[in-house]
Amino acid sequence: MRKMITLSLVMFFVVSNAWAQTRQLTGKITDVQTGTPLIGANVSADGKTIGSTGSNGTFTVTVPANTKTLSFSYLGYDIQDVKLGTASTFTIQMAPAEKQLSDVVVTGYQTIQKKQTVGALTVVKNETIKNVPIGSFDQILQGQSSGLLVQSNSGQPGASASVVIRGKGSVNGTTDPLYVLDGIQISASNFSSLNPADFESVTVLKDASTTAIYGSRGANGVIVITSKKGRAGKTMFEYNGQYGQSTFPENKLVLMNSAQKIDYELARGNPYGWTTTQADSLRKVNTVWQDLLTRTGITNSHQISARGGNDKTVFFISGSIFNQSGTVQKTGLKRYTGRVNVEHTNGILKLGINTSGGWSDYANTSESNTGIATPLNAIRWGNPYETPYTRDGKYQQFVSGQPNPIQELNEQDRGTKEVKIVTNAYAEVRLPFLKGLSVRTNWGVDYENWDQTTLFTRFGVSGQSAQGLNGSYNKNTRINTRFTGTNSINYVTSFKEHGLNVGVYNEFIQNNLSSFGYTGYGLTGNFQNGAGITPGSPTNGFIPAVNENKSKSALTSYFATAAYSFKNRYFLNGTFRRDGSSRFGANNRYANFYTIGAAYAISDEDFFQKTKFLGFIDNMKLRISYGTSGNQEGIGSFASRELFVNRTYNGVSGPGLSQLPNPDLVWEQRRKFNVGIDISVLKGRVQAIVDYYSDVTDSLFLNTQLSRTQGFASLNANIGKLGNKGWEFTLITENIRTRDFKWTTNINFTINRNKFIALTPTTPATGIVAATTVQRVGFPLNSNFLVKYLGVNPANGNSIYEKPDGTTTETYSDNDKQIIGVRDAPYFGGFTNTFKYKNFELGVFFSFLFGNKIYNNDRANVENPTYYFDNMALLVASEWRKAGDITNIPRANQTFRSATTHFLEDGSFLRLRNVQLSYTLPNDVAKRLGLSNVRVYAGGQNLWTGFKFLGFDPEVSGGGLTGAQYPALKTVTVGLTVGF
Amino acid sequence: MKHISKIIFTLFLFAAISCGKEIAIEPTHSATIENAFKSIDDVEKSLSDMYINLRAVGYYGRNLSVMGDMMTDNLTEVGTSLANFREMTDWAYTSNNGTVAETWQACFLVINAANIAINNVDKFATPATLKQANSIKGQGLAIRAMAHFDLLRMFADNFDRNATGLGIPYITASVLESSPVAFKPSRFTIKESYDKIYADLAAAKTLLADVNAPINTASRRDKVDLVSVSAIQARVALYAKDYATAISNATTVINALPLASRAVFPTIWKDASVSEVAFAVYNAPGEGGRLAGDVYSGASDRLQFEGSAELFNQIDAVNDIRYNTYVIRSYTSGITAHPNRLVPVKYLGKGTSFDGLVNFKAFRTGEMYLIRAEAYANTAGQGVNALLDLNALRAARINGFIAGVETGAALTAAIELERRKELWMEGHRWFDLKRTSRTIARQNCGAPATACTLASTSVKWNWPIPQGETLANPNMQVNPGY
Repeated sequence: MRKMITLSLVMFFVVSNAWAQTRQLTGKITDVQTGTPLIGANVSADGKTIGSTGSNGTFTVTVPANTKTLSFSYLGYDIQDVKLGTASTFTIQMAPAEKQLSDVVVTGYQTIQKKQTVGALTVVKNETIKNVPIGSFDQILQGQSSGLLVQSNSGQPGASASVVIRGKGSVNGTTDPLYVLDGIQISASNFSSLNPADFESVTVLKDASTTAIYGSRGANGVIVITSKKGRAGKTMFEYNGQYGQSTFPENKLVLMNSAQKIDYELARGNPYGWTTTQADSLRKVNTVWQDLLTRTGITNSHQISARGGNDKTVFFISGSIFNQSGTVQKTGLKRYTGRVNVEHTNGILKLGINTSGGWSDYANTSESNTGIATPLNAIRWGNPYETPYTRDGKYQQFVSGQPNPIQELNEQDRGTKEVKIVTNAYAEVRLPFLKGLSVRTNWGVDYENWDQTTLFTRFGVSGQSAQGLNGSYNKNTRINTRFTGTNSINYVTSFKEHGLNVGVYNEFIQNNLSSFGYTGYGLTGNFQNGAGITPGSPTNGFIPAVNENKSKSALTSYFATAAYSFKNRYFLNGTFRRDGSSRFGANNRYANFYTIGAAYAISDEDFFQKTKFLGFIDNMKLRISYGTSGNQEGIGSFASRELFVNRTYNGVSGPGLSQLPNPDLVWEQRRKFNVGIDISVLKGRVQAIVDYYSDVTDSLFLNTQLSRTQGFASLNANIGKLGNKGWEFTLITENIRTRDFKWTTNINFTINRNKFIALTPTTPATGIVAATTVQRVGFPLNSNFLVKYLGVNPANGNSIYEKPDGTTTETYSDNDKQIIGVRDAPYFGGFTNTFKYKNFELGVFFSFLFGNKIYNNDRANVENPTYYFDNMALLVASEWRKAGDITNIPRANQTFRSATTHFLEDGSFLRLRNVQLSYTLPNDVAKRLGLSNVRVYAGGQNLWTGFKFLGFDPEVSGGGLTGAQYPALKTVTVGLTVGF
Repeated sequence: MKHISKIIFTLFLFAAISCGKEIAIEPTHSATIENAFKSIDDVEKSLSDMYINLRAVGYYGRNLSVMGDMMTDNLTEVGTSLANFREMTDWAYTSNNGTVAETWQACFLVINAANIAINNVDKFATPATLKQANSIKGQGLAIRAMAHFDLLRMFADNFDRNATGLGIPYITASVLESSPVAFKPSRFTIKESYDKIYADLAAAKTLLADVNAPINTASRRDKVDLVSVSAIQARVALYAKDYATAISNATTVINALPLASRAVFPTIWKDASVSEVAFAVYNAPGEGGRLAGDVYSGASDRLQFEGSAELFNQIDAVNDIRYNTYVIRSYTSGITAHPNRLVPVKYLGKGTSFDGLVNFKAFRTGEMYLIRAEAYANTAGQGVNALLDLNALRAARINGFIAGVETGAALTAAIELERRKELWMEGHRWFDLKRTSRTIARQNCGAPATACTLASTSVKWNWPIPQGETLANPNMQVNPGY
């Protein structure tokens, strides 16, 4: 490292810096609405920051005499350009930012003007996030950015979503984007202990240039979260409270009612031997299991924050309570969070700390499985003529042997208590001997502690089938601690019309995971919890299971960035980095990544401004970038080596091989190309952003298939190339703008094409085949690989299949499987219409996706004629029974085949994701009440969804619905925001 | 000057990050081969992995313990079945059937663990540890041969000792000794496969005759020792129609481990006795899995297959100790009624437990009597000895048994029936039919089963080489008909 510093310093000193004639300018910057002085706002000329406001929002800067424009910027506010005339004092009123194109952008290490970016990114503002009553913030991002596909797999309170940026670029590695909160990497898929209302903005970085500074981890894109910072001035308090109700959505997969089921059973030979009297009385029962298992969920949340400070120290403090009960009985999330962000400036030194702590307690039910004891599966499988309780109040035992879901739900508890602390501290020194040179260090930790407990009492079937047959109590504690440390030297300078910003960085990340757990058995006494565990003996079967695991991984990075601008019109960016990961073999730990990008603000050219027919264009910028980034997450911490684990046979423990070595394993690398255009016309009334991207993952981690004759099916290796190409469109229009009424529309749409470009020659031409999917060159990742189902032969009731050559057959064969449809949606997006009338505002936000197919295993299980002892889909009542029957359901006594297109369904949907109506009290009324602002609102999430998929909800990521679906919540909320 | 202290502070933070060492991390809760094997004791302990792999559902956990009964006329599927093995039990499997693939791989996983032990032992063998090395290698070779033989039973179409049809690949190098991506073996002929099985078993016998310490004890027979190797050899030889070898090895086992008395017989299945057990795979609470839970799980009281009424009607419910040891009519472990069903209770649990955690008795003397009887019956002039063995077994199981007098075809049929009775739910029926009559005609057949007869000409007698294997390894010849 020392060598690098010396080099950099030498480089900095050669850059000269001189002013010719200068003039001095002074002024004051305030918030246009509140009149509050803005402290720390930047003043720049010719793209170069030349000063910032101090206490009282005042500034004094010196500029070259020939400077024509002064530019003022402040985080979260619109940039204001002021033409310089003869005046030398200014009063600047800045407005909070609304428009996409003129924003400042936080890319993690830097805050830059959007104009200077050469890559593709989207900023999602706090306003979008803060009032949505969803526990996990990633779910809120759905439809908010082009290129970002967010699918909530579960409506379980606190459940995280599947988030993919610009298509899946990995198979064995992770496809999760990198999440960075205030410069600290935080765990993907674990946000339920963070309070989204604390987030100032969320920036989605998509192309090589913007993700370059995260090169070693940025292959899947980066989501940069910035928490709210203090602002100098009067301390502003804000309270936000919300109340909501959620319901379980309607069901599209129609099942039999009691009469239909009894009739079906009788037609199939009366397996339970019902007498006529019994059958008649059962027909009248009609239990709706869905109603018994679900309820109206309630959401309550309260949050209070304070924001303020003086010219030296600013702070933001918040606390929140979020309490949501799920629509399935016994599920819910309670969350308590607190945050303190403080920044102190003392001359050349700036120190700060951002800390958030969250505690959440969630109660779950099992989902996404086909277990018979899973309560949610009983919605499908529970016979409607069964009842939950017997007449004397005991749990009813079903004749089918299917466990009673009410019994299972009541007799089990699944809970997680989580503590999450994300904190970072930083120090920045503007070095006095060279203007523009600064040194910064930022260290932080993401600490997560999960305490998961699963209780099965001895009164439920699951508990009775536990080891020892008398219930079980399992507790697992998992602690993950991730340290991130970044040191950087930055130098910003400009001379004449040239601007330069260079930096060298060193980053270190270490992840420590440790887990400990036990399962105790024999809850034979009164206590149906950990206190009730009976010690194991050689005969009682209550031997507890104990486990421990620890693993550690680390990354170290060295990188340099340079951004050059000319006339604030031509921009050139470059990055070079070298990263080392502990996951690879000693010879393959390090990899180099680079990016290069350029942008051209063509509308600033004189010829452009002089060309008359281009006059309607206010702004036009062309961007292009290319580069590489790496991926090494999602594979094991010791993925390159053979691993032996402890194996015990009758009390003797010895080594057993659990993983094969692959010393040749290297970084997965993603090459990303992006070209885009930003355009703003009609005085900003219409803004459009269009990007084309083409990303290729080289050295793709994928399971190379092995001959099974050595006991292992596959080996994780770098065996392929996977491509994602696509178009992204964003259109923001101000359709109507009058004094009282404003209508704006924000539309984003993405087309993504994913396909394997190559697999190693040893991979068979058929590809890598799994049960219902295949990975094959020329086709998308996880292509459906199924036998084409044509229908039923009316003559004999056999299923008819189409062979790949187009002929038909009644004989099922795996060799007839074909690639049909894609699993990951190729088209998706969202659109928002916002209407403002005086103090009323109505926002209507739809999200959508289409073009994908979902394999519905949940439906296969209620169409399988073998399962007629449990409830079935109503459609099955129309199965083929006699020659001449025209139906799509084959005869019941044919071997059931599920790997056919009969169970492949359209996954498209259009969803009214969020609608909100709000009223803001006029400022003068609020002030009379001694308040700064008051806003009341009412809204709803997922109130309407249009889809064909036969299930509760079409939001199924990965293209397959296994079973036990916990659909996204339909919620109605009312809320109040008060500032004082 | 005060700035300089800040600068030094900042530079200090830079210096805190060293170069490279922090990403050299060694695992602590798992180990590479150098750390896993540091002494001959470590190699011996690695046999645990080999034995554990026998518990997998792809091996004795299900597919080689009860699948052979589920697929034939020994068990009858009932309505509360979860129908997870319908393709197997209706003989509708195709090349990507999951059960077949999991069995194929499970056998090779056992073989790989055996090879790791066999091929690492010499590194640590010294004159002082020679006998310990013999014990390790002997157990490894015996299990390696047994697993290969089980593959041969499933995937070869003919069991004659010198048949020239497609046998199996025979694997003697562990995955750590080869380049796994390039490793693409093909199938030996049946004769060549037998040659290797025989050779490994013979070598195991020599080695296990000279060991440092007893492998099993009077109350624990959960590893392969010298007697167990004879039991394996007897079974292999019966399939190979090598009757002399079958007779001599069965005799060795019979002499060493006499049949259990009727009083003791039920306790074998509760693991209260190891009488007549040559080798059993250990299962217990806290270690191992539930046996035959897909037939009947006492723990969840789910009945998926009941005992075949046609078979149990031929067993004397009062006098034959096996009837009530193997099934209980209408048994329930407490939750669900199974009215009038012949509920399999053979693997209910140790002692009074019904959790299914019992040892799987892979080789025992009862089978040895039947092997020897069948071998005698197929040896000219030995019909009398065959009948003697059959009667001895029947007398041991049936109270007041009057010696049978069957000869010729009747004797052969009686031996076959006795195998069904004695070895019910021990995985033999499918293979017994395959090596003899090759027809299945299920009685009392109906829903949920959709297939009731399997003709001798069916290709399904020979399981398909899994698609996953043939795609990864083009050298692996497929079985005809898939």
